[in-house]
Amino acid sequence: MIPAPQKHSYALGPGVVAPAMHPEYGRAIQELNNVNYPKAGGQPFVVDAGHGVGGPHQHTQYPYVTGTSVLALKYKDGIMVACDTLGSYGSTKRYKSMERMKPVGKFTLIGASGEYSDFHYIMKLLDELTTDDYCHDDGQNLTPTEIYNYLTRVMYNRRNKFDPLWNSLVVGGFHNGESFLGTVGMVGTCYTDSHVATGFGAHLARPLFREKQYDDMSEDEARALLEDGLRVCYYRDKNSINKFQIAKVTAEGSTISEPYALITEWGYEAFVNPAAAAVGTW
Amino acid sequence: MRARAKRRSNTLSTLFSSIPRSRCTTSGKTSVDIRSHHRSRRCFSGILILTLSYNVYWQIRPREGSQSRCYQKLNNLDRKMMLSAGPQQHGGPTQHASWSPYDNNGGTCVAVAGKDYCVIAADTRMSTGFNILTRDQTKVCKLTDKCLIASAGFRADAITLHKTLQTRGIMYKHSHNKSMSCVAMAQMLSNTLYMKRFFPYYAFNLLGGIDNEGKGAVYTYDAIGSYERTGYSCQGSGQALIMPILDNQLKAVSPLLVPPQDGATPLTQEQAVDLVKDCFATAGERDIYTGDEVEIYVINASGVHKQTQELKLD
Amino acid sequence: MVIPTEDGGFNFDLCKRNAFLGQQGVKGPSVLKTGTTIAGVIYKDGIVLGADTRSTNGDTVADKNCEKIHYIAPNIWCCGAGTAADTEAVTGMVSSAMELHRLATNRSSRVITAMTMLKQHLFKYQGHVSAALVLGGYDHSGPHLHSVYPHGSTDTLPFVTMGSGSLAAMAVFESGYKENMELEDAKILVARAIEAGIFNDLGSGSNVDLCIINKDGKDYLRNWKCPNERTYRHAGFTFPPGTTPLIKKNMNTAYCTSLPGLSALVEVSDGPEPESMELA
Repeated sequence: MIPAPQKHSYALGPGVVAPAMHPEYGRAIQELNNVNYPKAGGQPFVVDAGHGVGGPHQHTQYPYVTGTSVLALKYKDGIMVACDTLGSYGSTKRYKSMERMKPVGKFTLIGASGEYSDFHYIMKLLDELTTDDYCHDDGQNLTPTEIYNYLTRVMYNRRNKFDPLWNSLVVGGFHNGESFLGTVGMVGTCYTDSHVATGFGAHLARPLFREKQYDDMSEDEARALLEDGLRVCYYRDKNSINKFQIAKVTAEGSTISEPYALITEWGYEAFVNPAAAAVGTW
Repeated sequence: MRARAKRRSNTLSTLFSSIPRSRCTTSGKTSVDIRSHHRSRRCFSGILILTLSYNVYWQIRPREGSQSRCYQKLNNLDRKMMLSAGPQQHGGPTQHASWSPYDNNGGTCVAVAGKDYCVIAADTRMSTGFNILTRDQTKVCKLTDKCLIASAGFRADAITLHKTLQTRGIMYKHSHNKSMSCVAMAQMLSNTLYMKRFFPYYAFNLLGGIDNEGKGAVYTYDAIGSYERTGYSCQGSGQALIMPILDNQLKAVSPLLVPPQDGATPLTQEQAVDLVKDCFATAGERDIYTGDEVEIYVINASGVHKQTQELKLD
Repeated sequence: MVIPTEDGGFNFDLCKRNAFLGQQGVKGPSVLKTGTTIAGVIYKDGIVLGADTRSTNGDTVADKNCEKIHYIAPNIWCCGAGTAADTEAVTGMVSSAMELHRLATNRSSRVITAMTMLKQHLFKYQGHVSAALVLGGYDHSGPHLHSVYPHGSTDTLPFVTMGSGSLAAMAVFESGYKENMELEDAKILVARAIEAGIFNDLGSGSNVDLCIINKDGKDYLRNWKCPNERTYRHAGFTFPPGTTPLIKKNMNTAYCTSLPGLSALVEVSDGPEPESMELA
């Protein structure tokens, strides 16, 4: 099946479609013949036109299959991103081999938490952009900053339509000798920093990052710190599993590791029979 | 889901008692055209390109202490709807994952106008709830060589607003072969905010710069575009802590005087910067959303100069 | 007529009225919350408890250096998070009961007794007494560490955290805890956990308090670390004479019954004008 293009307008911005490109919208206006629609000055622009064709506009009411935290930090050679491979269905551990980090072009990585199908949609948008880049064959490719800003606008525009993409995204990249790390939330909240974490990771992993991360840390140090963060998230986030991938972006390009498990500790003596000394209570 | 939406629509139509019920529930669709409502109340004329579905209304939650009049309005609507229907009275478990289109990322901005300078400053903490998102996110954006904006509130809205103003400033320059004046930028900011009157930018703005006569200018705004030129102002989460210090120390003339007098402070530039630093250190002691670092921009005849001052990290 | 006896506890007379007023949109008074990071860990010879020192009222800091490690008994101490009044009252009640119990039995207090009293009280009030506690002590059977939740459930664990900064503190414990730690290592670990709360959670802040309890007694280390000094303070505000204009002078003689004729003894005159008043 050939996927339908998502109709970018370079003039109007991401996900926004010019009036002439969207027949459904024009028809709706005629049918309604509503006095309140502008009669002059053309039709209003449509954001994400393809979404509501046929029947009432169905907003994302509820995230179905979701991924939990994505953690990322800067180190000497670039950016390291990590997350587990679980796709949760509510609190059911439904899919256990879901890849939540994807490359965009050679020097950018996207990590996603939240609704998995919305992440697919976002990757579809980005694939179209990178395909365009390839077709132009002019040696110019989207930089990590451009991809980050693009995603910011996509997320914000969808929020403006009250039809958000239910994700928090992490964008890591390397360009012109500089590493880039940023994150975009569901309503378009975005920032760049030396370390980021989405979801539960913002509470559990970032305190460790704030304590120990520095931009010149070695790859081994970065990996150890990231694994510390992953392990803590695994211990304390019920929607997580011990199956992780770590990805990195450096001057050489991006690589995503095979899934692997971390060594964990459950055997502390005090855990064995915690109430041994608490006889007489309940 | 459909049935529930319809019931909500009916509730809504009883609310807008001045409009016929059929207008509100357009052929069973969930979206409700609120424009007719505004028409009938004569509180709005012209083109409004905003259609709010009932869900839209439902999701916009008021923030405590919000200054936006629109918020209060929505709050009232919300409350009426809760009274008439009750949020949880429809059958079955509530499946609706709730989300709000707004967030509050906190932060404080201060601006002081002098005879021939303007100081505009903001802290760099970006937070959500009790969480610090980043310690190093600027709230200030340079719009022209003589005009800067600082915005607290919802970061995504503030970024969008800054980008819009910057772009329009550049287009103005290309059209007119001169930079936009600070006064014109101030009016444009007001217009830009008011254009989103019914889905406001949740951003609390200060515009600072040098006007055409070389005097310092500070413009202060609410979220939907009401604005005023003042000698000094403060916006954001630390407002209640800093404003009294400014009122006490800046000795600007009363805005009530007739004929109106120049509101600029008699303080020297160094004194003003010193006071601004102290204000932020003070707010950082007591306001949990203000901290990390303050960026202070001084705009005068020689250009825009930036300095920073560390704040507490807790 | 039977006169109802006062039998102690809370007074619920106004609950219905308040619920009605709440429906009408009347807001109740706000209460101080210790949006808090508290933590405790078991080390080789005893317990180390830790707490930050910020108490908040909504978005503002109410107290920059409050004490959150409360006394229960000489060998038992308790960190409190939640509503300040509740944590203080509930620990005060238990400590007083423990004191009486010691006097009656002539035996030193047990941690388990304090924990049971706390959970019974909290369960009775179904979470309305919002106290989240970390209880630690050393008694005849060794060191004990418990966390007590506002609804009355308890945990017994080698390391616990509570309060709004509990996740940040727990991250430090989960990555840094080791069995049978030396005292110094335990102090550093707990302080790191509290600092994680101070720097990552906006409800927590200011300084680190520690309390070490072992067989030799307790060592309360108030403000063991102060990592949040004010960063800038300007020279001081100067108010020259005449800042507040003097509109009129009027001296009334006070009527005093105990010292009749005092006014006749006092002469009122203008003193020399002060040079300036300074308020640093």
